[in-house]
Amino acid sequence: MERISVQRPMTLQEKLEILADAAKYDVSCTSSGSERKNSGLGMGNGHRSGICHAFAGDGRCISLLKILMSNDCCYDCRYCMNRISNDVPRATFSPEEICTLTVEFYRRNYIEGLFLSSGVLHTPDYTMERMYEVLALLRRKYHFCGYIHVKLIPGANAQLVDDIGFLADRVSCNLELPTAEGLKKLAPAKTRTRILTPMRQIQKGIEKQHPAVRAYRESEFVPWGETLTPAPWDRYDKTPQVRRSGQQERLFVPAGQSTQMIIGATPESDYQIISVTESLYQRFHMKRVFYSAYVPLNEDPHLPAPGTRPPLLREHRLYQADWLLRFYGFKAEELLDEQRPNFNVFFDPKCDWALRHLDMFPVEVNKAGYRTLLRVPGVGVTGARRICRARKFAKLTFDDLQKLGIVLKRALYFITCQGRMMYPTKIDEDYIARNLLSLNEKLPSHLKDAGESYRQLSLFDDFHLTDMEETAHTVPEVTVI
Amino acid sequence: MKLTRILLCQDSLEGILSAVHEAYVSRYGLHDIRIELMGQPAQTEMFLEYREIVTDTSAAAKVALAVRKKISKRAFDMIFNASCANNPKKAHAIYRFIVGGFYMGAQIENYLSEPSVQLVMQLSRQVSKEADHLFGFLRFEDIGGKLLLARIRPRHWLLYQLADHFTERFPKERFIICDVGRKRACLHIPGKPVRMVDYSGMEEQDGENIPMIDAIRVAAAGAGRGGAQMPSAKDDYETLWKAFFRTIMIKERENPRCQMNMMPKRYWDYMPEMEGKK
Repeated sequence: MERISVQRPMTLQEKLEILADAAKYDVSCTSSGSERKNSGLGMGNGHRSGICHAFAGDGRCISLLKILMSNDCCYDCRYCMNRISNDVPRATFSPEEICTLTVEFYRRNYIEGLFLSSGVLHTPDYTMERMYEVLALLRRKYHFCGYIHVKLIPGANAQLVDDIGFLADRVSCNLELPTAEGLKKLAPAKTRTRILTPMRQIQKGIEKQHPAVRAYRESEFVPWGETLTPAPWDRYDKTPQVRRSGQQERLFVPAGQSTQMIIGATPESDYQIISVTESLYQRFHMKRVFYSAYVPLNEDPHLPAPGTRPPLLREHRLYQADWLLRFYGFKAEELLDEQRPNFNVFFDPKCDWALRHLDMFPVEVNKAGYRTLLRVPGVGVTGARRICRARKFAKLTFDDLQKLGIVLKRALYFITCQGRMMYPTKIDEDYIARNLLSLNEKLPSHLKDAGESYRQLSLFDDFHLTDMEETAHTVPEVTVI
Repeated sequence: MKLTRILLCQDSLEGILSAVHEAYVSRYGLHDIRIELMGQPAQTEMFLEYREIVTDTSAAAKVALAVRKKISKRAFDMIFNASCANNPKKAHAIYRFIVGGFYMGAQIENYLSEPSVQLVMQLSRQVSKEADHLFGFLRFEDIGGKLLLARIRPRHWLLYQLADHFTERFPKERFIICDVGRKRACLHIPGKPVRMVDYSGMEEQDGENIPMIDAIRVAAAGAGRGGAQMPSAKDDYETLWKAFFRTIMIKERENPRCQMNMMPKRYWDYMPEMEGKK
């Protein structure tokens, strides 16, 4: 059999297109959590709150140059575009190519740093070694001080994971699917233990260095660097600022670790997912857990058919619940349980919780503690803080609350100001639910305009909470109209 | 009858603080003084006394130091940010904020029901929000590998914040950021302090920074991105960036409205990846 292969070396642009395309389903593109000064030798610094440099046509933030090092993967995960049995163009970047791309993009202020992931090239160890090479080049040859996020390849040598941890700002290891059974079914080459091992290792590494971190922070105040020229707003300041000169001490994964899982490829319930999330936060001290609504790419009997819309509303509800776990002091079993394993389509998780706990409301704004205020629908973290600050000066009225940015049209059923409710309302689940629904929850534009919409709720009267629970079980079907 | 005295000051932090200083030392009575910006389309009213205040840096420095000592550093940062805002009422709000602050101390920040405190806070937030946006959306063009040039058209005066941010980030690069609307630019040369240049009258510049001045001239001449004079039209990395930007989007989730919410159109003029999409 004659095989003609016309091999033309791929241009950098072709490689970039293939490898960015292959990386686009990775969710996390944050550049926060790492404050680093420029070393004085190269370029870049870290900005604590992260910086978004652009927003792609799907409305997602572009903060990092998100690429795979190679999509020449030897695994056969069913949900993945780059599984070995798929016939897709393959490419691999050389370490120098990645470095120049990163540095040149960074110079033009296109990006905040690099997000490096990879398919498994030959073996996990071989892949991670090459990724380490990229990082070492960037940090030591180019003296790049910007943000670097690296995906760990499960099954790689522990020493490699450690070495990479000292060069990157954030590392993450994808959980891929919420349960071990799902993983076994869809990703035969990966196992739960092999994913959790590096996570645990990173967590221990971060915790181990804590005393060192403290010593490092204290040493920052030792006046041994050069005096800086004052910043424009510091020109009147009399105390000179001090900066450490030369190479800075490298920290181990200073921005912490994150992970992500695919939503909607396997039949897990929201309750299972949110419980997994909770234990990841509690037992692995994750900075973030990301959710990725599954976009069907491969024809496979175990997966939703290509053309099925990704469950965006479900993803949105999970992120809302994720915030409740991290910042609002909620627990997974408060939000959902075995009997109601999925989130309500119509109400956000906090509202849903409040409606089921009307015995705890209304709360008095001028007296309730911060944690109680956080549980009121329409009051967020900023709002609760502002209330606590402002009520020291004067008793707050509903007008004041409006000025503080509280969403009164949602909060009014749950609060009193100086003993009075805003309007005479009933503390009744059906009544409040009906009124809140008529407000049409303000959904983020990525849900509102992505062709996926709420069912129009005009038939309120035959609509009862029992129906609502039934509809909630079939989230994807209801939401995709 | 005591006339209300209007102090007209320059539109800068120093100008406003000089007027605040004058308000105190004149002993005219804090409540009978209003501070306004010079050059506003002022409707001269009856029974008002107008005075122009000459900016005095040392007087402004005294006020600034007093604000930091008697109120707080945070309050000073807020005042600094608010003074960069594009709002004719800012001078008087800052004045009332300082008067209140000297009375109440650091607690003034929490006194949200006072209108001047609210305005200063609101302006400060607006300015830092736009600065945060531009930290991300500002784009440098590489001119011959030697010089980075950025053009912006912000609502507020942001060159101080931007110069500071990018000096920390690129200590070894020569760069220029042009505020196209105000015809001001900041120049950074490695190892030297940042210079602010008013390039509406460029001929007066000395010969030291000739390549930079040329670059500013080019920037000022080009109407928008892709203008005939742009030397960087063939920048390979710009092409690569556009390719990356196109590819990274997930088609199944396409959503231009969300993109526009997160990245307002007024920034698009100078962003290569958004070329021709407006």
